[in-house]
Amino acid sequence: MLIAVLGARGNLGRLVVAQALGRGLDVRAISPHMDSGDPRVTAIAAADRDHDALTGAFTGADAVVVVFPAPLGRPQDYPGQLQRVLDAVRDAGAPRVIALIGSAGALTAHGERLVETDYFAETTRHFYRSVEAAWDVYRRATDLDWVAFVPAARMQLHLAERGAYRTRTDEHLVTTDDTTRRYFDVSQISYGDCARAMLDEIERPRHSQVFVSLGW
Amino acid sequence: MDVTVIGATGRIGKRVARMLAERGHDVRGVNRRPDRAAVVLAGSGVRTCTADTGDEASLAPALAGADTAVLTTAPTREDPSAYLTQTASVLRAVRHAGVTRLVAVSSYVALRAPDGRTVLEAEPAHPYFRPIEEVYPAQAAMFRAETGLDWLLVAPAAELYPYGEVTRGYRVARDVLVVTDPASPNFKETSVLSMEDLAAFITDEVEHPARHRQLVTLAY
Repeated sequence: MLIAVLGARGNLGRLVVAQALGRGLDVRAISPHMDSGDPRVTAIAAADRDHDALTGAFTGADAVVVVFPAPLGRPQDYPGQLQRVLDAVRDAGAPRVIALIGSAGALTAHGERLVETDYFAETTRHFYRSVEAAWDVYRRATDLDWVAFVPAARMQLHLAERGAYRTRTDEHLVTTDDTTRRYFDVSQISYGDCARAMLDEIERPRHSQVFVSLGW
Repeated sequence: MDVTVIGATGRIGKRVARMLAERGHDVRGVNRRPDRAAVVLAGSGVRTCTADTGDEASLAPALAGADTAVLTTAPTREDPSAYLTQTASVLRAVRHAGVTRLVAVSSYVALRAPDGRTVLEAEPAHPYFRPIEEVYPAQAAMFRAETGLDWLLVAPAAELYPYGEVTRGYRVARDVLVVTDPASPNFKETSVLSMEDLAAFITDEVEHPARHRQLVTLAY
C-alpha cells in the first residue's frame, strides 16, 4: 500500500511517515522543503498551490494523508489551500483522503463550537475561525472518500504515546468528563496516538465523509 | 465604590465587571461595540458605555467620578503596536478624570522566567505572535514611567483557562513567573490560573488596594 503524506515534515507528519514505514507501507512524503535520507521514502517538494505537482504526487497513492498546517501568517488562506489539495486528490484519482483538522470547529458538551468559548482570546480567534472555515471544505467534498480526524483540545508533543485512543463521530470533542468545561484538561491526545489512529483507518477503513474526534 | 472597567466584554473584563457588580459596586463597563456589550453584560447590573481606547475624549464620560479604573484590553493581531498608543491614551484619560488608581492586565511575557532570563529570551515567541508579545514589556515600561497614578499591573499565569472556580489558592509574586516546576523545559505549562481567580484577585485589589506601582503575577 502506498500513502502520500502532505505535510510530512511537520510534528504529526513525521510521525505518520515513521509509523507507516514501521507498518510496512510505502510512503511518498510531500513537503515544500522535503529532504529525506530514507530510501523507502519518496520525497517530493510540492508547494501547496502547485496543482500539477500535487496531482502528480497523489497519483497512484492508495490514500492521501493531509496534515499540513494552517498558515499562521495568513490563516485566511487555509480553506482555499485545502480546497486546492482536494481538487488535486480528485484529479489524481486517489481513492481516499485521511486528514487532520484543528478542533476549533468541534462542539463542546455545551453545544457551542470550541472556537467560540473563552479558551480563545479575540487576538487568536481570527486564526482559529479560519480553521473552523476549513471544516466546510470537507463538508462540501461529497464526491470524495474522506475522513477528517479532529484531535482533542490539547495535543502536545511532550505527551507520550499510549497506544490507545477513543473516537466520536458527532463533531463533539472526545473528553474524559463531559461535565467539565476545562477542555484542555479533559480532552487530550498525543501526536503519536493521533498518527496511530490515522494509520489504523488507512489499513482498516471504518469511516467515510465524517469528522472523527480523537482523544484518550 | 465607583469602578470603570475598560474592555468589559473581553474574557477577563466581563468576569471582573460582573464580580464587582455582584459585590454591590457601581460598575461602568466600557467597550467599543454596544451590540456586544448588550449581550455579554445583560443582567449583570453593569452600566455599559461605548468608547474607544484610542480616543481619549470618548473615555472621559466613562471615567468621570470613578474611584478606580480597570484596564483589560489586549493587543490585536492586525495592529499590535496600536495597543501602546491606546494605553497611553487610557493613562492620560484616567489622569485627567482624576481617577487615582488603575489596575491593568499585563501578560506573562512581560515577566522573567524562573532562570532569571526574560520569558521572551527563555522561550522566543513564534514569529506570528512576536508582535503581540513584544507589546507587553513595552506596556510595563509605560506604567513604570507613570508618576502620577497609583497603578498595578497584573500578569496572569502562562496557562490561563476559563470556567474555573474562585479558590484564591494562588501565589502572588513580583516580576517572575509563578510555576510549580521551574526546572521543567515546559515550565510555562506549570504556570496555571483560572480566569475566575484572576478576576477575584483584580476585584480584591480594587476593593482593598494592597499592592502599588508594581508588576505582579499569580498562579497556583
